[in-house]
Amino acid sequence: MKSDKANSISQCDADAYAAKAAEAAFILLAQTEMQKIMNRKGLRYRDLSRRMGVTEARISQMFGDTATNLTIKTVARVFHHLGETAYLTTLEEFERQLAEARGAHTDDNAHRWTVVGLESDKFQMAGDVALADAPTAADVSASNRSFERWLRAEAALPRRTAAAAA
Amino acid sequence: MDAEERIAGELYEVRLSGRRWRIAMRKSDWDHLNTAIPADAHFRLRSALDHFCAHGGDNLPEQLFHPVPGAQSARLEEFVAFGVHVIGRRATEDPIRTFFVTEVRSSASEPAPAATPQAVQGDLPFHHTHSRGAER
Repeated sequence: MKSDKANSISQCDADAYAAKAAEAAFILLAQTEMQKIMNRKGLRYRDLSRRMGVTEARISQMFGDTATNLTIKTVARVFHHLGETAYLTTLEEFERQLAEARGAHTDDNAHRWTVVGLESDKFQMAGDVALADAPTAADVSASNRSFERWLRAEAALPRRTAAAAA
Repeated sequence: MDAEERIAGELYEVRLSGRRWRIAMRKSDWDHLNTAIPADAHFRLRSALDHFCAHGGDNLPEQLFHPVPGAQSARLEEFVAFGVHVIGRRATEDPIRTFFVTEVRSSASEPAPAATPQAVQGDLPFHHTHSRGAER
């Protein structure tokens, strides 16, 4: 394989490398979010091209390598035609909002989080899985050790943990 | 990198890992990805591999990640960016989910984009350039 000296990684300093990496990651994030919506709704490029009034080749280009000129306007338009609204924020702010929505407290009691019950007075996450305050592992009686182990296993799964215990 | 170019006896090592997957490849392939391919391909592939490790491959664009066409093994999949192919397979018997990269190569039919005016344009700040053929 030939390496292209004019476009070589070795010519990037650390700042330039980080900036280019962030650029590529964000473009891919926009593409994967659009693809995720399409997958969820069972839509294909052809469907999106009809909704947007552009060629299927143009849609394909939006998801390809050469989508480096994918504009915010285009992304907003794609989301609109997919029946969604694009929302832009920083990762830090997103994580803060997510933690707030989950009723998270500080990290020091994160190990006490768990998922319990089918009903909740807080909010519904998905399907019949709901979040509510739960007893800590220490509160679980010694006679119910298997349940305690289950709690620990649940707590180890990052996406299924929620709701700090009282 | 062609198989014959690889150093005999090279061992796989985990090069990237995330919440869902980890990616293992030989040192020669890893070095190749980091030093010997065009920057655009490197950044595109690196972001794709990172995304795969964190979220899996379900929502990656089809052009970027798909089964290898015409492969003898149906389990072979590839990441493709700017003509650079990162080919591998998911290990099914491994308790920790690992994607083993078996080959990194460039396709002759897809030239690296650095030679095209559009790719160069991306590196030039504040103004646009056009190829003569496009100035109409």
